[in-house]
Amino acid sequence: MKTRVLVFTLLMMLLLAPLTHLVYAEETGGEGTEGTVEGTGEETGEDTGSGNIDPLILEQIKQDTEARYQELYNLIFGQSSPPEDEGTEGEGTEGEEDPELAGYDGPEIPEGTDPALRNQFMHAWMAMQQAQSMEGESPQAAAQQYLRAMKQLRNAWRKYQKDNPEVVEELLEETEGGEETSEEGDEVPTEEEITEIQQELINRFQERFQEQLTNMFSNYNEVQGDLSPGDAVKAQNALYHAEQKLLRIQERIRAGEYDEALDELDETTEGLDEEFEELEDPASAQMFRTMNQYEARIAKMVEKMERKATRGEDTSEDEDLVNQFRGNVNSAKNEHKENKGKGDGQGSDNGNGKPEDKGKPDKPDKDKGNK
Amino acid sequence: MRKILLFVGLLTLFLLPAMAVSAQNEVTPLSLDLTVYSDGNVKIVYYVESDPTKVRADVDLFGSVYSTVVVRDEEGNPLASTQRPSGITVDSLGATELTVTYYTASLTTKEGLLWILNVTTPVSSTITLPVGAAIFDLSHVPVDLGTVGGLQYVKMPAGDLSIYYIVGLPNVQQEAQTAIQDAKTYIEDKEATGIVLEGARDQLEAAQSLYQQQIYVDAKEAAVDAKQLAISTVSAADSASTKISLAADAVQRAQSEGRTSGLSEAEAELQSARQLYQVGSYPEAEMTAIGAAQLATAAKAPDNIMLYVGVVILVAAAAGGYVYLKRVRPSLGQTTPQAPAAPFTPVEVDFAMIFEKHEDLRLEDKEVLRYLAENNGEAFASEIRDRFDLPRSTAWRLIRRLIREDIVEETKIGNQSLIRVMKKYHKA
Repeated sequence: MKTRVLVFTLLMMLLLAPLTHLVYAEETGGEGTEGTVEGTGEETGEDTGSGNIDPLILEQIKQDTEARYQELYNLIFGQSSPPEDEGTEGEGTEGEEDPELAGYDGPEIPEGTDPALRNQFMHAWMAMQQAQSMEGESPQAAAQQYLRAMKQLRNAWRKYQKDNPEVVEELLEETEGGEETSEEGDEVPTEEEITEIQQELINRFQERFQEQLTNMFSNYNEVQGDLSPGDAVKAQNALYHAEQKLLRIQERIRAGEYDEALDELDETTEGLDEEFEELEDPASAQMFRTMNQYEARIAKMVEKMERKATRGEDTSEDEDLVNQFRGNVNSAKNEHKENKGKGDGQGSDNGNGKPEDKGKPDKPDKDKGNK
Repeated sequence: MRKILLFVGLLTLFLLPAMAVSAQNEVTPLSLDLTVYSDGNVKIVYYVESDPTKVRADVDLFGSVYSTVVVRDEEGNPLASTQRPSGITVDSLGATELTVTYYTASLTTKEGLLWILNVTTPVSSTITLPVGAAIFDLSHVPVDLGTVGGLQYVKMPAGDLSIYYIVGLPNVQQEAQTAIQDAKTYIEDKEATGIVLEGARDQLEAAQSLYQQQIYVDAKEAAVDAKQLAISTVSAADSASTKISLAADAVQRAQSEGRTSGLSEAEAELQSARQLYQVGSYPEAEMTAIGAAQLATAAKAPDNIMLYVGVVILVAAAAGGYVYLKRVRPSLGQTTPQAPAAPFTPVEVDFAMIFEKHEDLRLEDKEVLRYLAENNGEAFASEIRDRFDLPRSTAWRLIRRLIREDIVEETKIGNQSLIRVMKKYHKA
């Protein structure tokens, strides 16, 4: 029995493993990034937890549904002779009497209308009526009912366009020449521009990485005493290997071998992470990963501040952010030390290899694509 | 069983680190904007957070085929990227945020007029629909929806989403209303200029009636027909008006050229054309005006025999006048008519009596009386003027004075005035 449970557990781990990055994504979203997304309007969000919906959204859905009903009704029944049964199959609603429609008291569907079409219109009307009656008590359910009505109307349209290809043909001709895709306004960089900027970015990255490693050595010296002898050696080796590789990378850059430099930078940063992963104590591994993350951000912020200072711009906000990041590095070290003191050995590993949310600097104020 | 356990355990040990490593290069979605065009293409702007410790980042994209892929970091620097099966690998070089912009046509499908957008998103997304798009169904209750810049947008929660929409679904009620208003305005404008549009107005009323009955498609057609009829009627009216003007010109020309023979018929036709125009029978008015113009053009001057008759009448009248004058004045034929003499009886004027009764007579009066006495007591006024070289008004006043004194009398002969001394001053 125990074996079966173990097998099941392992299988579950295998199945759930791919989802770990999603957890990681959720927990780290938006930290420390700068707002570039323009807001487009007031956020009128849906509280899915409580099943409520913004009344403005409900009103908009209602208006859209009613407009579609009216437009379609007018288009299909706005003629002296209603569309007759063409013998095509209706979607979901056939010609026979539907007991649900017994209480129908909506707009008159002309005599001789295709039964499927008739039923779809009647169902749509009744769904709209039900939605209306729910608006006060349960806006979310009302919205769902309006969407149900829309679905009926969509099916009615499908049937209508199937039975009246000439009308669709005519309308297609009328709608031709609409707003075609236009790539105007999109600044598409040339290969040369990308290459040129890439070389500059490689240079900047290696400079930051060097600064990051220097700071990590310093951090290592501070926490060395809190590590097990094995982990202390592994951590030192990880930083040492990265430093050695960076020296080779710098030589390649000087030789103009940017593609190779890029590949080796990738290997080096990945290798550093992997070597931290190999520490015996997960809490220590987590501490190094966290410090590495913050040191990378600090190096980036410092670089940004230098550029801003050159332009004569205010850097006080950036300085605050850097100080916060530095505080977070110290927090990671202290937490690790305290946990070591308690001897729990679990540390502050949040299991995702990323800095904890706790103590994170505030995100810059931005509106992420709201409309 | 243990073998299975061993196998699964080993598999787990092998795969978990690999998954962890692959996850490390993943990015964190921040927001997603999709702009759908009427041709089904979708422009995607995808904002993600990337790891600043990494040199490369894997970004999963939406759709199966991408074009014009542009990636920029948070500073706007363009970044190099390479395609991989489900997206791209970006040389992020420590970027903290990436903006991926690209186009794909693989997210939309079309059934007749109905478009369907299907996409699975890891974050809530804002979908902007093409101009004139009408939403026909949504897979979920949206987080937000509305219109910006005339374009409808929908903000949907993360997950599998579908949006059904139609571009250019006709709003027949509005179209009918517009068509009716258009026809009404046109008809009223033209009627204000005096054109009779009875047929078009009837058709317009029919359209309005259909609209009231909510038969919008037919109402629109009727309104379009009404305007069309009005346009053709206005055209016919313009044409008739032109033809009437031409006919009037032809009649006037015939009159001025003296081509009066047959002109009365042309004038009658022209009048008839004008009446038909007034009641709105424009094609008939045009035809009648054309007939009038033809009649006026065909009108001729009167025949020569009539002219001869006229000349004979004039000659006869002249001869009659001559005989008459000859009878009244023997001196007919001279340049100045002479006072009639026949039957000739010598007249001797009694000056003594005249001068006695009219002591205040002027010298010129006495001279004129002597002249009359020399001419058997009478003379034409023109002879008096010529004899004394008097202006017409002076002679007239002189003669008036003598008539007033009751010394002479005046007799009209044709256009001439014969002035004669009163018989009471004749010597016996």
